[in-house]
Amino acid sequence: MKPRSPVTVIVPVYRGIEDVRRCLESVIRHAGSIEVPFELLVIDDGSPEPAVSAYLDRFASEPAPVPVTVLRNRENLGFVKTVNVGLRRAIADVVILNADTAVTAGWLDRLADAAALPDVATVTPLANHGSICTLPETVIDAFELDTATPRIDDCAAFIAEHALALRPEVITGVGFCMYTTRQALDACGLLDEETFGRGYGEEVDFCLRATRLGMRHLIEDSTFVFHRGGGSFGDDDQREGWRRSSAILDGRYPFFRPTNRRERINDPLHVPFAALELGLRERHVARPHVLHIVHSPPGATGGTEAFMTALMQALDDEFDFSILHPVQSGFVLHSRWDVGAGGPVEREFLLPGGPQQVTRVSDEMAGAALSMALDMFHFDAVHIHNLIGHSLAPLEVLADFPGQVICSVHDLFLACPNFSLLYKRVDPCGIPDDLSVCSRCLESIAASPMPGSPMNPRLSVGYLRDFRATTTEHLDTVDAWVFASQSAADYFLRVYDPPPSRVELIEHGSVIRLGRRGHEPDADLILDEPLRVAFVGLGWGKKGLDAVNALVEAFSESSVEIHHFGELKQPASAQLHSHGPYDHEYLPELLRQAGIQIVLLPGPYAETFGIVMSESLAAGLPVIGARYGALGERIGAYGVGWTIDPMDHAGIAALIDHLDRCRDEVLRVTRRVLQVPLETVADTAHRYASLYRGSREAEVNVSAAIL
Amino acid sequence: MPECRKQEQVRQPEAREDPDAESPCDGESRLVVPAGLVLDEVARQRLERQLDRAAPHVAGVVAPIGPLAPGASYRVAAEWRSLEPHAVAVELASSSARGAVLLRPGVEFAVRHQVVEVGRGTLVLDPGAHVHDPWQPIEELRVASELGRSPFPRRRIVVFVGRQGEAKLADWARRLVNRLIRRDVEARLALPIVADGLQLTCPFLPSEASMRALAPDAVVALDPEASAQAQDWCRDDRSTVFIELDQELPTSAELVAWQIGRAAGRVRARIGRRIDAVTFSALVRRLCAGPQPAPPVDGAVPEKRVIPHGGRARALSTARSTCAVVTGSLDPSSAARVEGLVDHVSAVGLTVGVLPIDRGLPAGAVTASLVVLTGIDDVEAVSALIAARAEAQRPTVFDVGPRDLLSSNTADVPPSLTADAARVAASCGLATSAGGAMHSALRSLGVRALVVPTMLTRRRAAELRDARRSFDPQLEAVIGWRLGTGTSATSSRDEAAEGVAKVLANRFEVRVLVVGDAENVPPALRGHDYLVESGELEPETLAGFTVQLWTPDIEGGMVAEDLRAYVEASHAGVPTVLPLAARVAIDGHGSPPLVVHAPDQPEQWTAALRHVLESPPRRGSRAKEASDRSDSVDSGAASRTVVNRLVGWALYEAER
Repeated sequence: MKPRSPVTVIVPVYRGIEDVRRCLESVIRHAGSIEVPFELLVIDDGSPEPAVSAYLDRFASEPAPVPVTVLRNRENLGFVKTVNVGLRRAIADVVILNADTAVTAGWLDRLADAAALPDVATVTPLANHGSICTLPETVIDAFELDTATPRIDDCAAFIAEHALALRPEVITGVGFCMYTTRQALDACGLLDEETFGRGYGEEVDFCLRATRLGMRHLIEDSTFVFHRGGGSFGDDDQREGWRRSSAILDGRYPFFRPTNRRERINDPLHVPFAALELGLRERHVARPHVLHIVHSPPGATGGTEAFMTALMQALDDEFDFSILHPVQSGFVLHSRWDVGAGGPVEREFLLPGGPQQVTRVSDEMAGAALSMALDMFHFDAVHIHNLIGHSLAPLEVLADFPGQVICSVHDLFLACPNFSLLYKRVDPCGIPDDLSVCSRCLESIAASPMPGSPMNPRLSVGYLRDFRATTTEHLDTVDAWVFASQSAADYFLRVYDPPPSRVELIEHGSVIRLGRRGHEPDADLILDEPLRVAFVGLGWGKKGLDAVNALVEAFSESSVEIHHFGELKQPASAQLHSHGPYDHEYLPELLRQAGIQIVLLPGPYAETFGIVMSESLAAGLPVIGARYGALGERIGAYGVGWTIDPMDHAGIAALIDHLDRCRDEVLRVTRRVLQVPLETVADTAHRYASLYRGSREAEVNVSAAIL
Repeated sequence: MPECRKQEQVRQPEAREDPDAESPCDGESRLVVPAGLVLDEVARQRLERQLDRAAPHVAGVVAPIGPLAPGASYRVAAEWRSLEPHAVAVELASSSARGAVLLRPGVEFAVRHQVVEVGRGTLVLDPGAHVHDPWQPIEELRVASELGRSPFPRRRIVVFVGRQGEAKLADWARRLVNRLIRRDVEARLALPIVADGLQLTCPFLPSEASMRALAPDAVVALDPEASAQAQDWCRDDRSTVFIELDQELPTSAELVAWQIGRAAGRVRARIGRRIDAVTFSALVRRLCAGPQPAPPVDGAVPEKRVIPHGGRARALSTARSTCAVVTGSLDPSSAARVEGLVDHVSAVGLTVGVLPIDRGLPAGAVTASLVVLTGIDDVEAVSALIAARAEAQRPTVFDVGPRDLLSSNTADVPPSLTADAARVAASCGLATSAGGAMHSALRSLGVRALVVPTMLTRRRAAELRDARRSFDPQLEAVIGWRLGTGTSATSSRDEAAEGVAKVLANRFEVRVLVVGDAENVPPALRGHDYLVESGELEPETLAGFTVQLWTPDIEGGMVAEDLRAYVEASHAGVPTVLPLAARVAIDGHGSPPLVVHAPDQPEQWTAALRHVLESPPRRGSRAKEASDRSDSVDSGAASRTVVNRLVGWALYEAER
């Protein structure tokens, strides 16, 4: 077989040393990845920049993996004539390559491969500035192609991987990088240098001549060549050049303008570009993938969601995540993947399911949704945060899951579907061992279901027995039971007996940025202003709104102010200073702005950690909270506030009255708050990373060992 | 002192007692606690505050020895006493007193039989401070008092209950209780006998009434009879955890399983005689934070106590209805601040009026609930008003602006007010400012000072928010440079100009719009094209900035201007490059790359500007941060909060 003649890559050079250097070095750097024989022909069109000429001298003298020729015009001929100089020297196919481009791996092979198809005149790759070949903005942004630090090779690899390689046909090629076949050159001749002078439109004219001869122009949609745009010949002449050329082209080819308009409307690159945009959302299989199972969307305002979001952000560098949560019409699988696009790309898939309110211990639809999610994508680990709205079906499905299963006990749903553990929605129950107490409670709740509550309206003691039995059966399905406080573990261990080796204690840490509290308390604020107490969080009974309303009434005629930050779910006293929903990240500033000295968390619910408590400590404020649960544990351990019986409204009022009368006590405790070391979720995230990988750190677990 | 007392000394690192010392340390007050007495940290801090408040001739403040209520510890007793107002302190006729004394520096003293005598001056007795004599004999066991519980509940209450009068066991319990008090556990003794020795608590009669009064978090039963009896006494308090002493237990403690099906009633742990205070306190903390050991019972919910109307009366609850802003000569920046304040005071429902002083003050200025003075140069013009209002116990606040600052033009000199402004501030006793150097100057004057952030009128804020637009990288890049209002030599404008010039050298398409006085444009920029605007910017113009550059005046290393430029840009969703001195005066998250830490280095200004200009995604992120901050911290709701705090702060003194 006769050896193939080399393709001549013609690079006319005029100005812009940085562009020229990047272009030529890219050709040399990627020459090794090219199988098609080629030669590089650089033509200095009388560059007025000495640095350009000097660089070309050096470039010509350095060894190269391909034959390199540098020609120098005696005077500036302009782009078109300079290209024709090159075309005259070429003996086979050519590529006209602008000097403000950068080629990428395998570029010439793929262009040549497309050009070998029948009747092809030109082939053009995709670019960031290339008329119809210009990539979608999402891709340009993802690879920062229009910035000072474009990720050219990353983009090329991405396109090579995700392109459909349809090679769509277009009316004309685009001049920044146009592969031109010998067949076309022989049939059409050179560029029309007489008419198109210094550029703009000459390649269109050439292509349309070829079109008239029945030849085709293709876009090689799996090849990317970077093009800075407006390069060698400057910006000043551009508009005028195009205006003049358009008039000439309209005269020569009356069919061009309407055909061009139609092409823009029907966009032959629509499908290839859609594939690339989808590709932006496709994850790298090499990154471990963790599925979070939670009861509400990641943007919801609860502490569990805030923690989960912070955890994902902390581990974004190492892991991809997906989130499965129920919605009214089924389940949503929300993917959050880093695909090398400068930040996680998010996408949602709706999975079929029943209504949000599951009424069976093991809901088939919920199980099917999880199975479907596990079929759709490969997961390395599953992290259960909350099974409300899922039933216990996920535990059954995950029994055969080969990866790690982690369950964070954010609330005590698994101990009782009445997850607030409030007896008849009022009194903290402490998980009685006498099931007749539970029976009375569940009957009461079933008799008066709360509208909009995700709680199963058909609760009964029989359901509770089945529920606990099913959970017990699947305790071994979970590789690590994670508690954010000893108290949470102790509540859970009242019902279940997980293997001690599978129990972990990991405090959550703060979900907001730290470093915003001073080293010393603001004594002026504490001693010389009205006492301001803030109730922070969702305003409803579980969180203690009843107590707050009682306090507002008690202090209505005094200088003590009761404030609320958060959404109100139930009616509140008109005299409550209500600030409405807040952005977690700015809570410290809002509390400071309002002159708050103490945060009140009066919920009777036994908190398993207390995200808001951490936010308060991050704001440098002491806390009043229940004497039991995680709040009691943390306040007692660090001395950062005061403990109450949430049911004893008079006791809470008395405490606040005492604190109003003795501000030195507030000052003392505030000083203690400022000394407590705080961690963020990011600080503890490495322990979850170990759990996901199944390489947990060996730690003695006191709680499980004792029981 | 009896010999036996020396066998068990109370460690008291916080109290210093040195009767033999001949010359107390200069410059430091001295705490004298006669041997054997115990003083809590709460009482010590109380004495310090009282000494600060006392007249100069007072040599020291006395914490008298007082009895403990049955069931109280010395710590709890000190806490209850601390609720007394500071005004209860009385000056003694004598120069000696029984108890602990905090002395002024250099005061000579002598101690004899728990009595401290000073060489000169008088003593003040503070019944609100308590010192405990742990050797005081317990005459009889009485029912515990509710004063046995702390008014500031945090430390767990643990009652050691016994029904048998075994002396050795009682002594063991007494020692452990004393050690636990030091470990932040409010341990108590309820035994039929009182063991001799140091008592940091007042033992009490073991009875149901005692248990009701103390409502303990945990009970340690020292014998089986006590366990059964105490569980019965605590039947209505389902939270109380029970711990049993097992004298045969080989370890210090063991938990009793509380898993359903394996639980043993309310008993959650057993302890042995070898348990130490550290282990015990950890055990108690854990058990008390766990699930309640007894189930809820219908109808057994304790009757809800009536909530007393608490706190001090609000004297001005109905009078919080009028506010007068009395203005002198205002520059545009101060006028805009007044406009914002008036708008938001009105928004919270107060009647508010602006009264220019040159038109004469109406009578209403005296009777308004709150008067804010601003732009006042001459204290004489307002002295009658301030005096009349002070007489009527109505607050008058002086709002300090940049023009009230003395210009030092150096970073080393702390900021201070002009003589006129200082006189007005001192006369009012209350002063506000936008923060930074102005606030610092007020603090150094010793007046009550509050930072009132810059508030835009609701209309201006809405216009700026409406003008926000998503950033379009195709549009031209604009640096909007707010020069700042003053001419301070420490504003770093020259260096910033050099930084801008470096940006322009490489980015010829970038436009610069200077906002301020054309005469203040630094020479370094004069070789480049730029436009100058003055006065209030149109919202669209401001929102069209790619980035705002702000070079405010700096005094003493702090921003010496109103923060309006920053607040406006944030409202419009425009990120601001600014010096560190200005950043620290601004609440809320700011992007670190936009803060210039060394404003004397032009390249830092260049780098901060390029951070935004050279990456459209970054510009988008920074703009979103600016908008998010503004929506949270400068919103209408936040401004209502600011006004509420201002009014509460101003009226609080009168209410006290």
